[in-house]
Amino acid sequence: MRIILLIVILFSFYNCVEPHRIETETYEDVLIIEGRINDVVSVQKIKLSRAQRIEQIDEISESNATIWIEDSHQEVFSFHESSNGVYSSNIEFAAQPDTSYQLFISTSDGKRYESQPVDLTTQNAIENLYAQTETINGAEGVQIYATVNSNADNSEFYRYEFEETYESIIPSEYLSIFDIRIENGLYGEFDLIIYPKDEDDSTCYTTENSSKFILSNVFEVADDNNLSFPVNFLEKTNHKIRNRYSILVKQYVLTRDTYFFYKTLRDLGSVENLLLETQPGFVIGNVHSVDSDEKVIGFFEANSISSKRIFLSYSDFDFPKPQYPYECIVYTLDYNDNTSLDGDRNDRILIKSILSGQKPFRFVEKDLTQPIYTFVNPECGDCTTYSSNIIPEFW
Amino acid sequence: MDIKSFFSKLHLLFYTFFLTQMMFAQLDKSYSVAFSNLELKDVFIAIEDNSNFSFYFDEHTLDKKTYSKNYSNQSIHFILKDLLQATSVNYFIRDNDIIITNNSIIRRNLPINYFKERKDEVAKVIKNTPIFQKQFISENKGNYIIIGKESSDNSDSKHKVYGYVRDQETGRPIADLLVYIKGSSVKTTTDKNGYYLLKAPTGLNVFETKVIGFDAIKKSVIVYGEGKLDFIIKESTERLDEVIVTSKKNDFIKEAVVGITNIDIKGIKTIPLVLGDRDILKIATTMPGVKTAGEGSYGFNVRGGKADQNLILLDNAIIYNPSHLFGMFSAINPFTTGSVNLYKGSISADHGGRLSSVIDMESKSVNKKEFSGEGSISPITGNLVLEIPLKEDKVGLLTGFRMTYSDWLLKSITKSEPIKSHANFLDAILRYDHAIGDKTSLKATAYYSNDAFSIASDSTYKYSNRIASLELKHAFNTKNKASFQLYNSQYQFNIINDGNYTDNFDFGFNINETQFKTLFTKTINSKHKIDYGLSSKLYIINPGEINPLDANSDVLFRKQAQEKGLESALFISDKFKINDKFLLDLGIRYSYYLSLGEGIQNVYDPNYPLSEETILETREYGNYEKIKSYGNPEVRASIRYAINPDISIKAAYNNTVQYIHMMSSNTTASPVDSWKLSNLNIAPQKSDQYSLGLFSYFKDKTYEFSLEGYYKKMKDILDFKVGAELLLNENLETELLQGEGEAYGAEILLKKKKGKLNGWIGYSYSRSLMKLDSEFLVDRVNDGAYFPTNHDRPHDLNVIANYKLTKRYSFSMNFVYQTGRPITYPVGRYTYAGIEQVLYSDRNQYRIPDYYRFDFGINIEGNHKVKKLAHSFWNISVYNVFGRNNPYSIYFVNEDGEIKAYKTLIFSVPIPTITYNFKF
Repeated sequence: MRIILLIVILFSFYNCVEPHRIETETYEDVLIIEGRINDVVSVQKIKLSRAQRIEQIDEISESNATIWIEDSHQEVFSFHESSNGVYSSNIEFAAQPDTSYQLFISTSDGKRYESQPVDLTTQNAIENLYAQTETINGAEGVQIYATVNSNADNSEFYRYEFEETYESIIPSEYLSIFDIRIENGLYGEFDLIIYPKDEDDSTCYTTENSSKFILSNVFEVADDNNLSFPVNFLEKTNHKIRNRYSILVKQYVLTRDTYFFYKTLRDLGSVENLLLETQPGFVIGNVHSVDSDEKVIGFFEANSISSKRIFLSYSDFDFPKPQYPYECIVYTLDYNDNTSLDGDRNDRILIKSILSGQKPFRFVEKDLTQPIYTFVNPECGDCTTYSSNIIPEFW
Repeated sequence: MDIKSFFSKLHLLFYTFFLTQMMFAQLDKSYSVAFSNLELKDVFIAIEDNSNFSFYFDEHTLDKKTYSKNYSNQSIHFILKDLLQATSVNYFIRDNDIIITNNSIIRRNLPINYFKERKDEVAKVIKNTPIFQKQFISENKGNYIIIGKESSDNSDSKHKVYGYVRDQETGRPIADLLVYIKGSSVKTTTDKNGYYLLKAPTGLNVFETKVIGFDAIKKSVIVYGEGKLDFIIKESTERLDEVIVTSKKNDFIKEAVVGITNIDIKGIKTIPLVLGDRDILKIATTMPGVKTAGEGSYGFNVRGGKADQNLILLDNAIIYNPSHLFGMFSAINPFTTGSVNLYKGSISADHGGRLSSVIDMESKSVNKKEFSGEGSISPITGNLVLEIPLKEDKVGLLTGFRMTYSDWLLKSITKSEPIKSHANFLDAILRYDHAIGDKTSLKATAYYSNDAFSIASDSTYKYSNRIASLELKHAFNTKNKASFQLYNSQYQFNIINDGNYTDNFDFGFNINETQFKTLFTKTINSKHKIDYGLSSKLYIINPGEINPLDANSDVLFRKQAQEKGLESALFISDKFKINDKFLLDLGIRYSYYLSLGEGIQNVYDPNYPLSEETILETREYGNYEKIKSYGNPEVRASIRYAINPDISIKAAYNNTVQYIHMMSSNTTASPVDSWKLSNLNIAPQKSDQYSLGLFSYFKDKTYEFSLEGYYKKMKDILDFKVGAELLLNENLETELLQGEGEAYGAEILLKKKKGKLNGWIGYSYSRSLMKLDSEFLVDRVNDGAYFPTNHDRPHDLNVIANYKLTKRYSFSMNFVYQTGRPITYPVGRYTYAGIEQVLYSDRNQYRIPDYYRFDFGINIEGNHKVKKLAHSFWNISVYNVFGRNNPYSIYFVNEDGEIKAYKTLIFSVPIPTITYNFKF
């Protein structure tokens, strides 16, 4: 009795965090406005969407809205819906210095929204993009920095986006120019047919976008004469730098208000732990409803932008070669072994099973004299199972 | 030496009686006496026969118990005191007469119109001097006490009667006891030394005493002149019955202050509490107007105030974190606590520095008569309290020690599967009381508490309170008294991260404050009583440093500069009795705060929201150099109007200022919340409160009813921006927002104080709102409109009831209902700039589910034999009988783009506990 009592007490003491089902009755249908124009002559794009339910995966785009931008010289730029929820300017244009821009939206249900007038931010392009070794939180790796001109005025706040592309090459011991397939015979029998591959599936290129807001400001840099902002950090063991790696960094010069809008969004993302929770809340932007106090989320920005690309790999930094990202499972199987009565497994049945199904194993090699085959799991024999073998244009 | 021996022919089997007569007055003579199995009556006769004393007593009032004693060379006082200590019998020696009275005639219900009739009679009697023997005999069956000398030319119509009131069992003085003359308006209360003084009219008076937890005593006294009358009163043998309840200090009808609650420590034992521990603070939070965040949080909110707005005092010294184990236990040892007063409406002028409330706890004054102890054992904690007299009636020591062995239990149960969670705590208290002469007393208290816990992680959290407090009291005369108080209090916490990673660190925070205070009390006349004094406290905060734990750690040593502040106050208050109906309690306090160096303060560009990016200038200050000063007059005013002796109306206005703020981004207080002083950029918080109350007794004071309403307006209340980083932030002000607060509510409390069934029902409806508006978008919350604060819980119902089945068995229950806390809910998701985001509602737009809980307990008293080693009782209680799954908080995490919600639960199953309590 005593022990049971204690267990009950301790159980209830220490199991104190439980998943909680989010109630979706609280869903609020809020218009999301992503309005970013820049100083590069191009088709400018505005994106409209609606907040979706927490458990809903698909985005809800806001179609059939009328969008236009007016500048302080009374020039009007009209937009049309080029794809679901994405509105493109009818003409190519670039935001100009000393001009303010205001976004107007009229949705299909007749509701009207407008932004505060915004000015184009000061141009201060990325002067240099470089990588250097660094240790962060105990992990050694390479930090990619973007440097801007430290003498420029009115350009204190920056946001970065990047697109990283990296080469994946399957381990050389599993390289094969041949593929294998099963040809079924009568009575459940099968034959193995080896044939040459029709394309190279040993080298692939993966492109990924930055997955968080990268914000910087000149105030947090100690050395005023060298304005270098960290953009992306790769640990030395990261498989992305196992071969050639490329990063394209896009820089937005922000206004103070825009910066704090993104900073708030960024800070809302994570929760440290039970004791130190952050205060969530509705994030106010600079776009508002004209007719009511309906809540909308969004910020209309006119940013000066620039971008730069660099290439690197582990060998540039004296790092050991990172591990291949997948564990390789190798089977060497004897086609002639078709019984388990001899005390070991039935190899032939195994061959059939690993070559069938959703993710068939890949052929590596065959013994010259006997029908003994070596197979490897698909991720180690064919990089197109997780990436693409199309070489990017810039490579 | 003259020895005589006696043999009684009536009852006894055997007895001997030795009497030793010395050459001085009879009282100083020593007697030796031994007897066995004699009734009191016969003992008296025996003494009478062998001395010059004559005994006067009513045979029928004496019990039939027999006594066996052996005294050698003792005074008559000693013999009688010892003989009668376990009885309700009192004696009084006047010359050669010894008058024996039995004062324990307890009338449960007086006859109807008893008071009326008596009043007339007494009034008549007062006029009738001299007094005829016959008169009082007929009225009082012969039990009377005579004070003063009867003289024919007695011109004074009133005489001073004074004396001490002591507990029969412990000899401890009883404070706050009402002593009054029945049927007249003459009354007073005892001070902390049990001393009282009143003016009694000449003639026959019936003195009565009243305090909860003790038997009422009546003494019929004939007053001829000035004299001393001591009372020895007995603790109520039926105190289980006698309630639990809280009663307002003194008489709640009569005090002018609104919103004060006195928690009766004794009552606590009949309320089922978590894990078998009696918990004073938990009881305080069952009062209407006080709200808790639920289990697992020490913080509580008084009348819509934040958790950091409560001034919690233990023996005058502040205690920053009065809780153990996330607030599951209070850190104050219940066995050592003497009284708890909770001020939520009117705060007395000598207290200040917090906006919402004062919880004034006093450890119990030490029993200087005899060694005694008290303790309890439960599967979770052990507690032992000892009271040690060092010099009889002069010097005494109280020690208390309590600790948990849950950690040890956890380890022994989970041998095979080590889990990283652990929790343990201890607290210790030492109090020293010294009576230096009749007029001066010294009290010293040392207190320490320590907690350490870890919840399934590599991080260990530790915190501790340390208090040293000294109080010297002196009575210059009966009208002028002074108290000098000095204390030092320290609170500190550490977060130790000791995993297998390279980010091992030790983070520490500590706050230290030292206060000196003087309090003078001057009774000018029967209409004015003035309290005045000054206080000054120095705060030293070490906001912390982070140390790498070992050479492998990549954490860099960082230290944030110390902060200092000096908060001083002058105060004066007057209790002005305008007439029998009106009582005014008016206090004024002027508080002055200095933010002191050394330190660095940022000056921000006023055209932008505060942020690191808008620092215009950084100013450096030398050690103890003034950074900024704030001065604020504070008014504490309350008035009472008594409609009749049983009904009164009170109104109060109070304003308070707070110069120190808790930095908590949590919705509830957590032990690792640091404190921050007001400085150049952080203004003090201010509050104005208006309250009105109706207080009433009915059904012969069986029921007590109060209805109170309040409206509160607050300024510069602190809140935090989204994602505020509070620890080790040099520019903390950039994470803070200061806004207006508004709170209002109505509180109803109905108590039944007597009978087999007793307890109380408290209900409050209250709102707590705040507004964070700014010209800057980032500093605005909910578009600058008022929104419910984190602790806005409109409905709050508490029912506490005890039912006494027999003398040994009693049942108690406790029901709590509270509206769920407001919460900011995720109301959707969206993608912005290619990144998945959670869409949150407006701040505090939704609520977590309502909180309710039902607890049940049984108390089994040990037997009621007079002679036994220790008095003991068992408490079996079940906490959360329904197993209600009350979420403590709900929070949301964006894990790899997937939004997950977690809720924190502390007790989601019924928790049985058994505790053994003993007292010796």
